[in-house]
Amino acid sequence: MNDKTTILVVDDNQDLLETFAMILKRRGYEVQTACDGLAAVDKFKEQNFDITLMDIVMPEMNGVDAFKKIKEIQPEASIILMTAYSDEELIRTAMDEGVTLIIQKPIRIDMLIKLINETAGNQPILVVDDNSIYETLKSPGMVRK
Amino acid sequence: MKVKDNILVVDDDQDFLDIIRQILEKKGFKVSTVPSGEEALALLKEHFFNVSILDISLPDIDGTDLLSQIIELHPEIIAIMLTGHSSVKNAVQSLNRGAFSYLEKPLDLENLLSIINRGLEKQQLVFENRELISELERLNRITNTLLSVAQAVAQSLDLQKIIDSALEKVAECTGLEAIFIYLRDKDKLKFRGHHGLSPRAATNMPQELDTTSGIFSNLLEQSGPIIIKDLLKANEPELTFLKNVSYRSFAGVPLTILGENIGVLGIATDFTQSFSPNNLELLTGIGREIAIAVRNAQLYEDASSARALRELDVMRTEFLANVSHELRTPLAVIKGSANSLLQQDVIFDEQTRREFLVSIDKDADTLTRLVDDLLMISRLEAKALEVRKKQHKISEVISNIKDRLDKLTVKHHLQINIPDDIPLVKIDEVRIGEVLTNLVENAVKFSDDNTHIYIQAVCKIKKEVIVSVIDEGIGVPLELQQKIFQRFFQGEGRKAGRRKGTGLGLAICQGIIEAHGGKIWVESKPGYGAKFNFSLPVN
Repeated sequence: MNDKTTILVVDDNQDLLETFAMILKRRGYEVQTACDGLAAVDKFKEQNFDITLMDIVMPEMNGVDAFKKIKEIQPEASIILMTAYSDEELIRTAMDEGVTLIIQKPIRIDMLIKLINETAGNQPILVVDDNSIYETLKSPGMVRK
Repeated sequence: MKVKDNILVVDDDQDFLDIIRQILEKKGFKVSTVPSGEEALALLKEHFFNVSILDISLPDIDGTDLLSQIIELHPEIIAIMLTGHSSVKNAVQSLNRGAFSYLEKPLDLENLLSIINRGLEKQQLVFENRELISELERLNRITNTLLSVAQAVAQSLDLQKIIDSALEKVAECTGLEAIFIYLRDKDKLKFRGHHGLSPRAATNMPQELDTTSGIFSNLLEQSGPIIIKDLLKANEPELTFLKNVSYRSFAGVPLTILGENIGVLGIATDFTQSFSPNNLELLTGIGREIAIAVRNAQLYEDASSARALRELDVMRTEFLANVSHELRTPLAVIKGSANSLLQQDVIFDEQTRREFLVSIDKDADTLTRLVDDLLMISRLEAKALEVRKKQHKISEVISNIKDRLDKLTVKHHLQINIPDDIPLVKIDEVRIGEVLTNLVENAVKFSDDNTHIYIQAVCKIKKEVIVSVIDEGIGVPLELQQKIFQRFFQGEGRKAGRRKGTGLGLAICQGIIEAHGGKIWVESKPGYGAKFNFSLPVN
């Protein structure tokens, strides 16, 4: 197996995809991108990814539905969902389905890197942040390993 | 009426001479009479006579000896011997020596006249025969001349070579001394070469002629030659350059192919009236042969210049593709990085922001360099490169760019060896620094990590300093050792992932070195590295 941690970034914003790809590649990850949920699921049919970083609100197939499909293909996949909205219903569903982590946009790069490192290292994730989303996520037990 | 036939009668009997003159003149002959062999020979040396009637016994000379001398002077003369006393022996001897016939005195006039007429008939045949033979020889000469001109001009496709060899051959075969060729170039006739023209005529002859009027324009419009029998009497301003240097006659022959006149062959001679119809026939033929060869060469030139243009076009297209790719690559990075920094969905930490800014900065540098290269090339193309020359030590130039060189060669071993006694050279320090940087950059590009790169300098007979950059890389094959200095040339065989250049570096180096009055060249054996040298003159 490849030594490098493989990451799939899924977002319908092409510029954001490229930004993440650039940053993560520089950090030594092997990065692939997909522009919606359907494309992400197709990617998983070809290969496994250690970590998937996926937007929730996307055309064709949203992040939560894609997450479910991916779990069917690769049950041990670590999936981090990103969202700009605090759609509690969606988040709750995702948590129930066993999502690794949900983070809110705008994404703090240093935080993202740290989360990815911890996920990749299978370390328990400790989120210490003043950003309200993490508070929201933590309080009702929404973040879990 | 035709020219009268000439008869010379030699006899020491004056009365006989008078009578025979009367008789023959009545018959329409022109008659001269002399009483002695000596006078006969003197007259024969000056004039030709169709018939000579000789007394065999003359006081001053033996008749048969006289006959021999006359035949020697004029082999075709009809000699009739007169013998006073029947002497068959003398008569036979005369016939053996070339006499046409003999008669006994007293003369049977009827017989004499019939012998004269038969002799003249024979002589006429001899003359006609001779003319036929000379015509045959002439035709033979024409054929040979044409053949050798055709062979000479067909040996080359180089237009100037064809013209030169045609001129030389025509001169050799015809004995004509001053010949020249003008070829049509759009609406002008351009001088393309001469053979044997006097230096004064050659320097004064027009390089270009108008084709709208004058003798040359007439020559371009007609199919046959134009002859000027006497240049002094003719009013041809365009031939003044010949007239002024004592040429007296001129012949112009159009060079015709497929009904089109593509130029003019001109011939000048020192004498008036020097062109016979036979000459002209030959010259017209030569004109045709030259025209064929010239047209072939012109077609070939057109084809090869079209090919050269196509090649240049391909090179330019490749160059443009390279340049736009080179411009796009750093631009894409700059654009992407700037765009990332502007992403509203991302909050950057200081380190990542810095990374993006650094890559923007680095690629902006790359862009700047590329634009500088292109500007430099355009300046070199316009020959507008400014070189500010001052006395410098080569070692100083190198130490000024040492940091840059060290950075370039981090993965290589750079060794610099400039002896202290290398004389000062008058150079633009910045430009020569650029050349050295470029050569070292190339050395790095085309050699493996951990190999050596040397910079050295030697002084050659105090006249020039030769600086060399030596690497242990893949080298340059012989057939590319000139080509790599051409603009837009891209070296092959570079390792995967290596930055592709614009193909301008060495062309720029060459331009800079040449602007210093020096030369740049490469010595290399593929697989064993390359040695790039440039020379700088020592003042």
